[in-house]
Amino acid sequence: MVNFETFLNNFKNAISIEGIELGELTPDTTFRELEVWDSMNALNTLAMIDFEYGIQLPADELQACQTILDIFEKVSARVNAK
Amino acid sequence: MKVRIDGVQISSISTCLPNKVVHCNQFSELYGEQEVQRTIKNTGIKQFRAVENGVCTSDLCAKAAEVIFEKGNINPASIDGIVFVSQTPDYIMPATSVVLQYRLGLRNTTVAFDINHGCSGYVYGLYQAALLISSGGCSRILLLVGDTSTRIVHPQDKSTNMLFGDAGSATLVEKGKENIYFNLKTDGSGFKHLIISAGGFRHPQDAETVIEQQDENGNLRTQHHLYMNGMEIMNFAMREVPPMINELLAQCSWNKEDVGVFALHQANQFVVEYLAKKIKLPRTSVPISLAYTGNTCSASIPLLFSLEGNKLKNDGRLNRAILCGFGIGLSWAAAATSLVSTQFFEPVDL
Repeated sequence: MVNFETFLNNFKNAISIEGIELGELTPDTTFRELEVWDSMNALNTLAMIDFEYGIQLPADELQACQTILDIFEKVSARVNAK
Repeated sequence: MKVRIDGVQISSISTCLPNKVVHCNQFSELYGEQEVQRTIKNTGIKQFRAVENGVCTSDLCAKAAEVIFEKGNINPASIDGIVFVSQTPDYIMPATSVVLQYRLGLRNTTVAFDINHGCSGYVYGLYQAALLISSGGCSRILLLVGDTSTRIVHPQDKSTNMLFGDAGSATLVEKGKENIYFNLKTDGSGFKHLIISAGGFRHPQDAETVIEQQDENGNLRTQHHLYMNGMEIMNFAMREVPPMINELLAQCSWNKEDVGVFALHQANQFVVEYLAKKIKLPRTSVPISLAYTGNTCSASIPLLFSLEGNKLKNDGRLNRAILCGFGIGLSWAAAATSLVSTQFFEPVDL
């Protein structure tokens, strides 16, 4: 079972950039609108998912996500299917 | 495919770089200072070399070969096979290896052919050279590997224009006392993730293929420029490289702590460091040599040895060396051998 709080923490660590405030992140946060979000943080997110959860989230599935909850749900589904 | 080939050795490695330097800072005008600094920090690439118009991979490889002939004291007439590995050949046809046989003054009893591979290409080339020798047909193979990727990247494509540099290499593989373990794999289902889609026979050039189009990230390219889906390539590397390294270690019965160097394809600093972390490799055994040369595709592994080989030798790290290339195709390949007796020549400029 993938825990959302742990996932959120992992996600924050993955995308943090020194000197830029992340602000409060919630399940409904539309991550693409965050100041820190860019193509490098997309790669950081994929690497975090691989390292912490042992799965690769396909690029088109990440593209389809709008909120942090979307990513969490897709990761959970793949982890549970393993 | 897994195999061990006996009775071959990698005798020498040399490389050639074009002398024009491109500083990644130059892209600040296009993308802003902050964006460029962030990219440099992530990729580890501060600058790279780029050929002038009209200079080909074969020119870089020929110069690298001359270094082996002159500094390595090798008679070109003693070469009986030439293998050219590149995705940027001189011509659509004939094979560049054949033209190089003529340019380098090799005998016409030389066997010559090209291999059309990218980042896995050096290991594929070593495998092919080893096969030619172990068949009994050849004793001394000149393996020429390189790419001029700056000529296939669109100058306004942020996903590729600060990553790739040009380089050519020459490796002498000959009959000897060593053995090389190989592990080679293929997954063509990923062919679209790293591709130049037009200009071949599937999509010949037409009025549409030459149109510059902007993608959803604002990157500009035509269908004759390199397209890379960075996220899919990252997923591929994370999924396939660790199991391949672990399989190769099992093939050789080596512990990872006993391997002096893991020469991974120098795609970018982020992916090399991530793979080292995931496979739990000691960081000191995973060199990163791309800061001033970028991702040189098929040449990245021989270039790493050309830059760092003598230091690795002095540090006693070459008794057990693992080489691993991964990328376009999708194709990935690894080799394990001793490089203790290999002669390394530092890069020369063209």
